[in-house]
Amino acid sequence: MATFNKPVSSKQGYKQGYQIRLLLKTACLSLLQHKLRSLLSILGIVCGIMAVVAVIAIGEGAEQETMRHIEQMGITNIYIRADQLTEEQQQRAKQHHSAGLQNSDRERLRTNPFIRRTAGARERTRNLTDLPQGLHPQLMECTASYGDILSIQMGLGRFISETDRVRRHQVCVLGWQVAAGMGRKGQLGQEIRIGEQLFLVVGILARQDDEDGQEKLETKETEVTKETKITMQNLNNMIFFPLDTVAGATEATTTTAVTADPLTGQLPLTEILIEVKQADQVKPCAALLRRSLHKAHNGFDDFQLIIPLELLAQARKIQGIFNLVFAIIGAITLFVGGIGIMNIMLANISERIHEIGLRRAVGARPKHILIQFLGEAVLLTLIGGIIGILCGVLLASFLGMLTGWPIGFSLPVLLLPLAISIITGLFFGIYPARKAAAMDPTQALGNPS
Amino acid sequence: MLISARNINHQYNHGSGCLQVLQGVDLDIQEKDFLAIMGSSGSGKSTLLHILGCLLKPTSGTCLLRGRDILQLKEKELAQLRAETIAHVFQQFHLLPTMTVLENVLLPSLYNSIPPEQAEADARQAIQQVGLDQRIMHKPHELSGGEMQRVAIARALAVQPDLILADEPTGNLDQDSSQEILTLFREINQQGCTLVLVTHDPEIAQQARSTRYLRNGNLQ
Repeated sequence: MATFNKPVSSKQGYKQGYQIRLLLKTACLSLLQHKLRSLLSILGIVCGIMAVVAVIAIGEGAEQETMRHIEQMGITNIYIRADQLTEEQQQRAKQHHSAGLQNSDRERLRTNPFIRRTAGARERTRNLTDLPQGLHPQLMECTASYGDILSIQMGLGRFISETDRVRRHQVCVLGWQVAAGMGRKGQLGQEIRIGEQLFLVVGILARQDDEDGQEKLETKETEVTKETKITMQNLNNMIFFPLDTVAGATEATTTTAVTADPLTGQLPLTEILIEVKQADQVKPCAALLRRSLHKAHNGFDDFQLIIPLELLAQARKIQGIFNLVFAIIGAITLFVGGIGIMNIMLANISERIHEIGLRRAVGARPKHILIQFLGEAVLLTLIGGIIGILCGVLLASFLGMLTGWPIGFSLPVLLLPLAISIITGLFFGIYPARKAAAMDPTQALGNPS
Repeated sequence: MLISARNINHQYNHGSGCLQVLQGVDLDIQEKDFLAIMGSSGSGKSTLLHILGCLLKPTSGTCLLRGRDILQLKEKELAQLRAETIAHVFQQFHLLPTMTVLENVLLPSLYNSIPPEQAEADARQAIQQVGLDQRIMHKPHELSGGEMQRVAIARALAVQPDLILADEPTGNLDQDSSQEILTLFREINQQGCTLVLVTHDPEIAQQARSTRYLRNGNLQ
């Protein structure tokens, strides 16, 4: 037996696979030997990863929803909304001879070279006769370009045309839900009555669905900043008329009554939509519009500009802050969990000191010991991470069901926490593993005498 | 000559001072030798064994393994020697409790260059040689002290080493088990493996072909 020819494997990769398999088995057996201790040690990681997954899923869902709403408004669009004035503000408006947003404002703005097209819209509150119970459509007078700028899809017939507005044709276009709710009376060629006026149905909008296929049944509000709320119109529940065709010289708002301009005899517009030619022209164009309207309204700003592009930037900024705050919370939880892992690994090493000595005696190098204990720490955090991801998905889904919040699961939502758990294992496992690797084999085997 | 050690000195440094354990030890071990090193507790027997086994570097001296000075070798080369050339048998057996007999015997194959299939065949043969082929899937806690030490010997034999260093291998065993282990050692030696056995028991030392005494750090 004195001298043997030591075979050198030509299959180094195969040998490495064998080594990894045995080390993994050792790690699993070691963790299984102290099941309760191992389970308790990963609780911190489970909680941390669960929080991270739930927060990312909820944050991503909210972000997707906000971005979609903003993008639906159009990145190259600018919305000029009439402020709802209190009585005191109305007095001040009169002093400044401002009659609110007028179609003349829209006509003036059209000359701006940045602008491709404009649209005017006026919300009306009138009672429709012969409507089925439970159907409360929103009435809107608008110009023909309103449909073009908002890319409204037609189901049947046509949208309001410029001729309808100029010739004051008494026609209307029904939203899908309104048409369906009215039954036979909501079909093309039928007439609907508002007071003494009859409006011919010339078009029915296509059904407007959310991206997830849910019908938009309610008007949604997305709060972007404290001051600005974007109202997403539920087109399914609307009836459109040509501008200036619905009779009535007053309009009730939530705060006070709006009266027609004594000079033109027209009610102010609720909204002017502007479509700018290019996205990079939106900001300078908005500044020009603000100055122009400020001057036209004699220095009284009874309007507000809503710029989806700016809202998008604001929403992204807010989302960034939100993500940062929760990343910090997640990091603190993982830090505490990581300390638990470090603690358990140090205890493991103290208990297995003879094993370290034995492994060194049978040929292990310090790097083998380092890899073994680092691998065990990573295995612990990886198990914690997988359990945490599953719990996080369940928690986020439960919260989504309970509150109706949108939840967004994507591959990064699931892979990022897994990567974080591996990094936590490496970070908090390196100190105990290095301590084990640096151990003197003779000391580890027991002091020689 | 398998090992030639000259003027080996070793001292342990403590906070309050240093303890000289070995003083100018000279030792020659021939191929296929069966040497017993005797000495009282604390005489430095295990320290000398750890130096011969490449686990500990002495404070000074030279130690040649087949003419190669092991004190000049790097950690990687020393680890390779421990994995393939020199095997240890300890008084406390040092078996891994979560592993089976076969897995314990296979442990050194994690760190040597023997292909896995050959390592397993060697391990099974070594287990058979120590008479534990019926207990191959048993865990250490299911074995007696004598059986555990035989597993430790099988672990040493499995790598087909040139030298086996046994540190008080019967220290934790009853008389019958001790006798079985010593018989096994004699068989292994007769098959051509060099054995160095450390003990404080003269009856056990008698089983070896030659005996040296370690007193006050000197080998006599």
